[in-house]
Amino acid sequence: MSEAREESRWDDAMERAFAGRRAPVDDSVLGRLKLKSGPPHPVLLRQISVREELPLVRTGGSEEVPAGKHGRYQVLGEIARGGLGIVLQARDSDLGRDVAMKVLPERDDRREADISRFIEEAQIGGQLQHPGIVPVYELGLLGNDRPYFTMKLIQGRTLSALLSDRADLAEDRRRYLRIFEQVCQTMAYAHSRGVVHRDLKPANVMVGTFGEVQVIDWGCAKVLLHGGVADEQRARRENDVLTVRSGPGGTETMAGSAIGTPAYMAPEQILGDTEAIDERTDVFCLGGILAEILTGQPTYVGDLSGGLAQAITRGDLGETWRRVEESSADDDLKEIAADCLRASRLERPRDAGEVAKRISTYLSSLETRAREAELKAAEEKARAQSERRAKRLAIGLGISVVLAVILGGGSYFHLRAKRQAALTATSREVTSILLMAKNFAESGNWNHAVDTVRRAETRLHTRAVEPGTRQLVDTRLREYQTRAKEEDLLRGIEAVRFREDVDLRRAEESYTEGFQAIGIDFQSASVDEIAAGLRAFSPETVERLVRAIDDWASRHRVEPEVARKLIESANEVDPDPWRQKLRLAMLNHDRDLLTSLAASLTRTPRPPESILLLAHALTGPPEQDDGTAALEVLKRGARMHPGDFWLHFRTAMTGLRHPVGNAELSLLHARIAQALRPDNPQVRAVLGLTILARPESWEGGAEAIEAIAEARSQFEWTLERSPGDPMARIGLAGCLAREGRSREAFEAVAELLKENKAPPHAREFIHRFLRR
Amino acid sequence: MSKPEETCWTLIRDAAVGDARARTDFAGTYLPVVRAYLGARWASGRHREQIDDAVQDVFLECLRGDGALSRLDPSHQGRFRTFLFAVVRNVALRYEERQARERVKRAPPHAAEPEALPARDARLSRIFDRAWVDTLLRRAVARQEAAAADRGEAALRRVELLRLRFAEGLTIREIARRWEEEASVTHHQYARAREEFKDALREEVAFQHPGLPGEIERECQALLDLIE
Repeated sequence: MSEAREESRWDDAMERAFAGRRAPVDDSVLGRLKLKSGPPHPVLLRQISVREELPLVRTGGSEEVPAGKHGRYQVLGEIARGGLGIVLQARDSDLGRDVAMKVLPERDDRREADISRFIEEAQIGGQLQHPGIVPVYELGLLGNDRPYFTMKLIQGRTLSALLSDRADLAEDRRRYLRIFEQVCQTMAYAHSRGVVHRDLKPANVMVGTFGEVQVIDWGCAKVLLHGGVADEQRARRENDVLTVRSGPGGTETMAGSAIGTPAYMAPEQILGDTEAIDERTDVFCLGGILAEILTGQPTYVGDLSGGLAQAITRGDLGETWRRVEESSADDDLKEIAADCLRASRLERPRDAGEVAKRISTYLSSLETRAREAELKAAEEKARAQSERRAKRLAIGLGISVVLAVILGGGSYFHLRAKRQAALTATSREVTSILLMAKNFAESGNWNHAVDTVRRAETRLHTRAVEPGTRQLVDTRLREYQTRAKEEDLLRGIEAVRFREDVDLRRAEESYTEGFQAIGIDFQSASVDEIAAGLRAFSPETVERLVRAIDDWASRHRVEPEVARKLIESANEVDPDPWRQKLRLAMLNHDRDLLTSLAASLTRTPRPPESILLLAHALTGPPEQDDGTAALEVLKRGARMHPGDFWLHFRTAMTGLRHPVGNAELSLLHARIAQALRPDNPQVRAVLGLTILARPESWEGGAEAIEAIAEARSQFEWTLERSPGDPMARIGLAGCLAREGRSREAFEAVAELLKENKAPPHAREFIHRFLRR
Repeated sequence: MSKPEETCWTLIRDAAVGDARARTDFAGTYLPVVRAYLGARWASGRHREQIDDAVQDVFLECLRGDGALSRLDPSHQGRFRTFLFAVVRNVALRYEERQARERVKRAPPHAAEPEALPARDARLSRIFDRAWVDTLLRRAVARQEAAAADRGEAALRRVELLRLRFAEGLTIREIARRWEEEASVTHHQYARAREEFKDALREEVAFQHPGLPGEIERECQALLDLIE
């Protein structure tokens, strides 16, 4: 090949390589100004030498934004990269300053939803004008139509880095509280403009080299609606901050998607309760920041794959409060943190403004106390001097006597005031401890609540308190002790739903035993006796018992007489009208009412137990029912309560019973159930069966071989831990049949049938396998 | 950009064992190729909305412990392009077969549509190859830029020179005038810039197709052939 031809081929290659790298028109002011004297000489101020350099993770451009000039900006390097954007350092050539430039990463730029969220972040930053919020300078498009926005470049460190560098938690506490106060004030402004941040955490607070405090990363922010979340119509007309999502193209689901950082998330965030997200969601996160300042640890500590996810979803804050309580901080501060970190958002301070006010008051009181201490020291000094002077003067006994009388009277009043102050201080201390106990109680940690009240009680043994405090302590102690006892009793019953190691086949027996342990026998007692037994408990416990009864009644193997008692007795004590209708529909076999209750699920979420009961009620005999109605209800339920094991497990099982057209659905939910209870042998067996139930597993080819191998490994895993498990034995027989070992398969299931160990639905599987 | 001792095979193996950077690099590099192929294959029709899912499946298939990579002979250091093409094609076929089966189940036999299994593989493999070439060329530019950033201002200026020449379509004379320098100086820089680009492309090809220099040169030529 000639050299010219070869170079021409390289020309083509380079043309393709540099295609799309066409620089945008230089629309910088300096680029467009054609002054006769040439471009104006740039003014560049002296650079400030800062202790912390910007942490550029790499210099030059990236694949998304090549180095070089983009309009007026010269890209210098990458600062950070996240799911929603890449932050670059760029130089604004017109104004001669460095800025932070945020662009969408390559994988996101085709999705309109991400572009909308990105632009919304810029719009929120652009409209929120406060010293605590990083100002957005400009929103624009790069040469390849990729949106970007530029912001002030902050030089400093995150609060997270500063906090983790402390040698001692009490070190510089007042400084961090001042920073926290500024964060609260910034958020108070944002809340007043109808914006919630949704991802407040120390890593999103920048403390500048000159002490400026700024809340960053508004990528998760949500624009609230006027007058609260319910007032949507008005909000669409009058949002304070206008963004692309609040415009006609916006989608409500996107505005409410579950985002944030798990270790700091409010319970309503992690549960995806989008309707509930408002200013108090940020208040919870502020509580988390304060807790970290006081204790050195975030709201939740741990690994998401461990118990952390469950702690968050259950709003279990006992551990957090314990850490706060044990910190060396003042009670006032602990109280602010505890109030912000309430699981129930309605009990948190209304917005950041309220938190800011309380923190400011606390900090002022610190200053007042410091001033008072100085004053007292000065007074002491003056008094000592005057006493010395008095001694020296010693002007006579008579005068001394008069002086003694005066001093005696003064001492009496002084002692009285001191006693009153001690009384008030003890009462305040006791009240603060009781508040902490209340927090434990609200998160269901009754034993901890009892222990905490006992701590308050010990104060009463040694110190005097204001009237009423003692009675309050006694009342709380009795109440929490009762609940703690009830909690112990409930534990056995609720284990069926929540304990991971529970034998799934023994659920019915476990419920029988659990209720017998609290003195209620569904086998022998009448409905009236059962209802009376239930009413003996506190209303909160009754609610939980009713949910357990519904769960029990939703199980297939419950005897009809027991099922009737369960439904009737629950209806005697349960005031909830929807659930009452459901149970009446079950008793009257009112299919129309059941169908209408199922339709109403889309409007109002119901507890998982009620959904399981409804699905059970909609399940007819196998020969008359294709499972569609029950599956629809279960699917909705699983969407409503994505962390509920039983909803997924039951969906998988129902899909297995009605495999035509439901095999994929069944497999999906079996996989989720297995992820929720990874070590449960029975779930593994069901997962194996759902794999086998897919037509792909039987239709030949590599996919079928892989599927059979995966199913087989699930059955073997189960049989290793639970050797007699009938489901796993059936499944393994299915695998043998699939491998052409029909005789062995037949013998395995025949043995099972002979032992009469296969439940009725399992027999169906056996017949299906044998037919194949 | 990848580390100097890295090849696409070390990258994919690091990605498969969960190295976050390797995963990001892997997805960032090959996503356009996979998407281009699937986009062309399913340009119209019912699969179009499944492109995102299928792209995910391709990466999953490449990265999961028991996926396509595990079935590859460990000593095999062949063309990654072929490997990726096989994976993406298999995933596409799986989607199409699954949908075809669903349709057959729902409809009488005569309703089965023959278009479900497209007989246009040759054209599609060409599209895949083109996307592959574009990816490698873009990565070569990025390589050249990274190297230039280390070498200094003059090297960065040479990358800009190529950009002005090929992206903006300016002649060398025009560039020289813009830069207020002698055309001969610009010509000299241009020749150097071209060589630097060629080196960067060879490095990229070596990354994708580890082998001896002769093999890399042949692969480079094959790449240029694909452009024509």
